[in-house]
Amino acid sequence: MELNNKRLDDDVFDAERKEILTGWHTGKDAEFDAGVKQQSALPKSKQFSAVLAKAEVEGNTLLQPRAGVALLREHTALMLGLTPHCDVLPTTIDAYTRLNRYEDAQKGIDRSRAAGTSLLNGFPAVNHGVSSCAALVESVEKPIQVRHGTPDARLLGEITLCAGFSSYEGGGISYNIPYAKTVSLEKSIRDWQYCDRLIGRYEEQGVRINREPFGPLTGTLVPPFVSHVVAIIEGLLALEQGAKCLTLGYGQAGNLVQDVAAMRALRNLAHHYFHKAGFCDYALSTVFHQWMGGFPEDEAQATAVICLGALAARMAEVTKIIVKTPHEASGVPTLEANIAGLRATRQMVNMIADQTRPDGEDITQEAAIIEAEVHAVMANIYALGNGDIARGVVTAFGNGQFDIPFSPALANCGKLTPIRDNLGAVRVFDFGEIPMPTDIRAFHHDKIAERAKAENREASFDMVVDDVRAISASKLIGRPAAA
Amino acid sequence: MLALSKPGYSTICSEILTHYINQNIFFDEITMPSHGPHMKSERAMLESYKVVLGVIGSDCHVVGNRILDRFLSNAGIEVVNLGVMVSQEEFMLAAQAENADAILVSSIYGHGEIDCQGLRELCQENGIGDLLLYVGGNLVIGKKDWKDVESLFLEMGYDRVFAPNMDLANAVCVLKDDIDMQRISRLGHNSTRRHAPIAAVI
Ligand code: B12
Repeated sequence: MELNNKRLDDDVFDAERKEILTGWHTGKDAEFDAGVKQQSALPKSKQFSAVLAKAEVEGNTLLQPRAGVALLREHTALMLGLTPHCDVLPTTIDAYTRLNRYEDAQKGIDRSRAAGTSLLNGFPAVNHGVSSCAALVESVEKPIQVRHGTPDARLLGEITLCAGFSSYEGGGISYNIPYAKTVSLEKSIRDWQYCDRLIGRYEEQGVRINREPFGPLTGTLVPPFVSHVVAIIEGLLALEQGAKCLTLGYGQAGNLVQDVAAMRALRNLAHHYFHKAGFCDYALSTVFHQWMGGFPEDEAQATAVICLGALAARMAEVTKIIVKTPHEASGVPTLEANIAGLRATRQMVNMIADQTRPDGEDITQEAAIIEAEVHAVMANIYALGNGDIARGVVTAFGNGQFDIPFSPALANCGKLTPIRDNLGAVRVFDFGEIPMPTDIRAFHHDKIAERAKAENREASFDMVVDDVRAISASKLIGRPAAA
Repeated sequence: MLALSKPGYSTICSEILTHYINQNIFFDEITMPSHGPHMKSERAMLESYKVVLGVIGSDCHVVGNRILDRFLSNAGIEVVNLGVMVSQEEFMLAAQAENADAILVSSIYGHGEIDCQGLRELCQENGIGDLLLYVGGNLVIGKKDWKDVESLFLEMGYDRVFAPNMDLANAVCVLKDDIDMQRISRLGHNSTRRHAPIAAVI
């Protein structure tokens, strides 16, 4: 079967669906009609798409934590504990489920029961099955989203959407390249077309499920144009399958100007490419992830990182913030640590909300650069696929003309090397095979040279290592000790 | 490119190795503090160090792995880097095939308690029972008392246990010392203990 960006045929989808539901014994309970009924019965206050739409209109910023534990009772208690402090709820899925290792997940459940504490890094929704997931949805008063990192998320999608989860994170690129090692892009993109088509089918039944491509990718010095290209392509792929409610995301880079500019550019770019592909009937919102790389271990320092993210997000007028916790560097947070992150973020957002929107020359210029970079990469991807972005992006990854830094995936070339400039913005030291106009290359080169001069050393991979470790060592830029 | 000679050692592994080596993550020279205080035999001094490195289980966190690889390589240690998502079996086979001095296991994503249990026994069953085993990272779920985490993994048979905020330069010194000490202790025995099964477990 050849991959292309075309809506899946009904009979292809139905045949595939039968097989997918046999992937684990809980699959048999995922009945589409029951799912539509369950979703339709949700009050507006528990529908992700409705809460996002309201926030967009009112200009509010929604807060969402990450959280998931092994057992249903404990997970429900965790959700209930978080509810008063956030606007929308997550359910973070464990890493075995993400790789379809349901037997290992079962062992994790059993061992967690025996140990009296969660030994899994998330909630194994497939193993718990439709009725347990539905019980969870019914116990909470806010919309709830599946947050994961699953290259093949077809069974997980069937089960959780049937149970009443009203938002689904991920995508064929963003849930492969940062999360997998040996999965081919053709396969993950094709498997995500299934998920998007499933959501399209719900849409056709009058149920609007929110779709959120995973913005931050590897979380480690990802230049804005790189994650924007992925967000736009995954948005286009989802729209083609009939999804209509999209939330595009970005992970904080750390330089305020760059972060605010990136969020503004993301909205413009998304509308530009969606309209160009002929889509007009969709709802768009944005999500900003507080710093996704290594955190400081000290909880007070970690709280400062959280607050910088909250500041940037609110200044950029995003729809939703994914909130980190003071436990980030240590381990899966307790309920209390999660609440602390949410409260610090709320305070910051409240204090920024009434202030005027910053609109300096520097932000405009930065946004223009990001847009030019995205256009250069997108034009090449369209060309490589003869107009088909699914094929184009697979080819681009294959020959390194698109590339994501710090990825474990064999499907990714790994030549693109980011580095911070003298103001901490993420620039590109080596574009690898990515085609970029010379003026943009020169811009990056000059910015990096400026830093090298200030630090009195050559720009090198030394700097990259220093930058990777900088924030956990209390600074934004990895300056040499003496400088 | 390191050749994995062991027959049956799957080609996917060497593909993965090539990939990791080709990844353009070159980190410059990192200066190491001078070596530890132990007296070393001439033999130990002359020998090179070789370790197998990888992230165990279903764990995708690769950033620390890349940093460790460069740090160890720059300190003159030969690194066989299996990358992320490495099974116990793959660690053991690579250590055998490469005749490595140690296995350095990372676990970052929280399932360490499940994934790391049993590697010592697997090595014992395969004739490399006294190989040095190190483990490090965010080893358990949640923020836990380090002493408890350390003893949990020591009990599993790991020789040393490292927290994420450990000092890399120090870890490298300790590693070289441990390898040297093990070589010295083997000298008197005039045997290649590690190549003979300690106990045949069926
Ligand atoms: C970046 C990141 C990601 C990226 C990873 C991109 C990639 N492919 O590498 C993304 C976003 C994809 C991601 C995904 C997930 N992540 Co994550 N991630 C992080 C984060 C923020 C930084 C990790 C990092 O790169 N650090 C920088 C490097 C340099 O440091 P390091 O990894 O710690 O490695 C150093 C040391 O640990 C040490 N070391 C490591 N091993 C060894 C071994 C030896 C022998 C020695 C001597 C030393 C040593 O040396 C290394 C080099 O300095 C951490 C939190 C943090 N630390 O701030 C969470 C964190 C590691 N992630 C976590 C989790 C749980 C996940 C997920 C399962 C999702 C979830 N449930 O939240 C998924 C993983 C799915 C999977 N299959 O693995 C948890 C682990 C929880 C726990 N142990 O209790 C953390 C701690 C966040 C948290 N507090 O919840 N993550």
